[in-house]
This record gives sequence, C-alpha cells and structure tokens, in this order.
Amino acid sequence: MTALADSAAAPVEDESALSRRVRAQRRTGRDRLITAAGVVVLLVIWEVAARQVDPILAAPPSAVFTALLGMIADGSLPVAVWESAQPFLVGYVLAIVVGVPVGLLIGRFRVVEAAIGWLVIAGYAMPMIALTPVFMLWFGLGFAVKAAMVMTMTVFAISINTWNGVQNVPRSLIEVGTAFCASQPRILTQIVIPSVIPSIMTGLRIGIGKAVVGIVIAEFFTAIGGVGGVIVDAGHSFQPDRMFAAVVVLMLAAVALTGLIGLVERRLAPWNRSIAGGAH
Amino acid sequence: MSGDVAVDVRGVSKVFQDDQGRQVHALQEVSFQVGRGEIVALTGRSGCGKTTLLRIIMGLEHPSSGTVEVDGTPVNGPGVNRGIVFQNAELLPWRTALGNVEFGLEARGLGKAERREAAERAIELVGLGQAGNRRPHELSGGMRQRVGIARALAIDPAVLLMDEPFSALDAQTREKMQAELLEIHQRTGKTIIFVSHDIDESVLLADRVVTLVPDPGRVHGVLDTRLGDSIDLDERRGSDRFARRRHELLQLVHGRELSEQDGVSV
Repeated sequence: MTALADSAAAPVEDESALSRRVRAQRRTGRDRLITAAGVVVLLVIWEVAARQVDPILAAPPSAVFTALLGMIADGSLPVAVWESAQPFLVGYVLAIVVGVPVGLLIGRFRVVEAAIGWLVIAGYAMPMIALTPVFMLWFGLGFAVKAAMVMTMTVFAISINTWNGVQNVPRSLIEVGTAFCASQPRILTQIVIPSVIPSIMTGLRIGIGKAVVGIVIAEFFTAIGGVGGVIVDAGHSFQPDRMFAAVVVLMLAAVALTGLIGLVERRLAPWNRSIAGGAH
Repeated sequence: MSGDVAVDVRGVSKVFQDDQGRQVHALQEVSFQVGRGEIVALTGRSGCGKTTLLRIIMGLEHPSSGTVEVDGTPVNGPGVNRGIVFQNAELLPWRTALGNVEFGLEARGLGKAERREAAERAIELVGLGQAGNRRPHELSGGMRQRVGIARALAIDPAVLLMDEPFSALDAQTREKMQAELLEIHQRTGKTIIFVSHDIDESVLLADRVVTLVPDPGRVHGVLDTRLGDSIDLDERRGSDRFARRRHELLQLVHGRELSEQDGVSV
C-alpha cells in the first residue's frame, strides 16, 4: 500500500510545488509588466487572426467584449452565472466536507489506507466524464446532477492532497509533542492538523479547476441553463462571440476563486507562504 | 541512592533491527551517573549511540535492557522532570516564539495566565524578551535554538537534555550560545546532559565527559573536565588544563586507553 501511496503522492506534490513557485514569481513589478504585455500581445494576435476568418467560426476580442456587455445588460449572463454558481458551491463544499476527513483518516490510519486508499487514487486518476451518462440516470438533468458532478470531480483531489499532507507531517514535530507530554488529541489538533493545512489548501486550489470542469461537463450534457448551457446554445446558433464571452467568464471565475483560496491560505497558514517564498 | 544523583543510567543496552533484519547493538551495558547541578557531555564518533542514549534518558526510546532513573524515579517515557532541546530546535512554525514556549506548559494543565508568565520568564532568561511575538521563520538559527532552550526550561525540569544543540549554528553564534548556556546554568543550577561530537565544546562546557565508542556503543571512559569556577570561555580555553583535557579526550574518543593519567575515572 505504501508503494501505491508514494507513486500517487509524487505528482500531487509536484503540482503544489509548481503552483507555489508560480506564486512566488509573481511578486516583482517587472514580472507583472511582462505578464500584462503577454496578455496584450495575445489579444492583438487573436484580434487580427479572428478578423481574417468567417465570423461564424471565430470572434475577435472586441466582438467578444461587446457580446459580454450585451449579455450582462440583458441579464442573461447574471442568470446563467447564478444558475451555475449554486450547484458549483454545493458540490464544492460537499467535496471539502467529505474529502478532507477522508484524507485525514487515510493518512492517519493504515487500516483505512489499505481499505480505501486505492479508491481515492483510482478516482483521482480516472476521467470522470466517463461517468456522466450514469450520473444522469441517477441524478436526473437538474441541480443534483451538476452538484454531484462537481463533487466527484473535486473530492479526490482534495482527499489525495490531504492524505499526502498527513504523511508529510514531520515526525520530529510529533516527537516534540511526545517529549513535552502532550496527549494524542493535543498532538492531533496542535501539531498534525496545522501541519496539514497547507496541503489541504493545495487540494482546494487544484479542486477549483476540477470543479469548473465538472460544472461545465454537467451543463454540456444536461444543457439546462448555466454558463455551460450558454456555451452550448451559442455554439449551436453560430454565435462565437457569445460563446467566447461565456468561456472568458468561466476562466475569470476560476482564476478569481483560485486567488481567493490563496488569500484564505495566507490567512490560515502565513508561515507556509514565507517558507515557500524563500525567506532565506 | 544518594540524593545527589540526578540521573542514574544502569546497564542500558539497545538493540535495533536494521532494514535487512540484522540486529545492531546501538548501546551495550552503558552505565554512568550524573550529579545534581552537573553538566555532563556525551561524546564520541558518529554511530557510537550518543543520541540514542540521550533519547532513552528522555524516554523517547526504550532500552532493550537496563534502567534509567531520574531523581530516583524510573523512566518509562517522557516526563516533565526532563526537558529536551533538539538539534534543529523543532519549533512549531505556526506558533510565535512565546507560543512555542507555552506548548510544553500546556500539557501540565496550568492556567492561561500562569502559562504566559512562565513562558515570558523563560524567554527572558534566554535573552529573547523582544522577540516573543515573532514566528520561527522570522528568527535566526541562534534565536530559534534559544526558543528551544526556553521551551525546555519553562517546564522547570530537573534535568535539561540537549541533542547537539549548537551544531547547526555558525561558529560565532555557537560561541555566543555556549557562553549563554554556562550563564543559564549558573543562574538556574539545572542538571544538564548534552550530546556533542565537538571535542572542544565538550571540554569547554562540561564538568565531566562520557566518551562512547561504536560497534557496539559503549562507555569508553569518563573524563573529569572541570576547568575551574570561571564561566568565561576565553579564560577556560586559555588554561593549561583545557589543552590537557582536550588531548586526553581525543585519545578516548579514538578508543585509546589513558593509563597513568589523572582525570579518568573509568
């Protein structure tokens, strides 16, 4: 079981290390400037390229922006976002409520690891989109299937990172608890859980991306409103400007939510950021 | 048992199983006593079991045979009559310096105000009064180790155990910390056992040095290294006695015998 866990842990760890590195790099003004320039260059290329092709196939950023404003003005976008946000939130919170304790239990108890560790690894590795048809049978075409999809997409990433975090709690710190006669519950609450917080936050951050995929998949196949529904409708009615506008909204939402998780993390675990950011 | 013995190590052996399942004798029949208020160094080459021995005294590991008594009470696990300082401080990164010092006090069920007071006293004692609210990542290596010492002292243990406490520090910081350890000892009168692989440090700080040799880890000799009443490091280092004891300790550490010479009690 240990070998399985190790092989599962490695890529997850890389992912978190990468995201930390990315955050650390964002700090200097020069980097920000380069990033902004990159965005502008991309927009210009897109604008020029999109104007060369059939407007049925692509829309330049200017048209996308106009469509975006129009969709906000006629209220269709806020309605769609609200429709997506509700199941998104429910599914995501459920994933946290289930995923974190499961990860803690697997990491802390060998028996639990042996019993369900494989399931979490399999769930993390498996493309969840394959389950969409059966999910529609189980949960119908409405709110429930969207929430269920978001949750299944997200829960494994959260579990596996929490699990990974528990395994990486420094033994030396647990020993400090033992040496100073702390009880097992005190060691758990004062040493293990604070040590695992950064890993849980990494899981939540990766989970945001997965959850967005989940909601879009659910809305593509059930196609009942939501931002995913807008994309499908716009695609079917040859309105690439509206389609890209919805995609941009999704992208911005994902970035904003990831940023929010980062803020929460800095609040909850300020020590971690300063270590990862290279305080030395 | 006389009341002057703080730590009594009797016939302690420790057998490990290595990865291949072979038995490794980390310690064999180790016996020595530490008097109350004494500073004793455990030294020897790597693999001689000095850290294992300290961990057994702390109760973090159990001997395969033999016993350890602290103040006449057998050691069966960690206890508040011993405070330990780890090699790399091992502070909880999410707690402030003061919070880390309080950690040890929390297990003793003291009230919040009492805890804070004891922690502040300890942090003052190690000269960190200004830095109590900083987190470990905002402290230098030397300051972190001071917090580690304060944490151990705060629980007011009978014996202070230190595992290579200064080996991770740069030379200047180490020198300063060594001087401060002697000051703290003078002020608190604590019994101190520290592990060191540094010959100079052992002779300089300890009243007696227990030398261990490896394969299996056993006591090779106990050297009396008292250098007089002064706790000034330069004065101690400049004395003839220091040079002599240093030379003798080197002989012992390398497993040679010291016949016909004074200072060796085993």
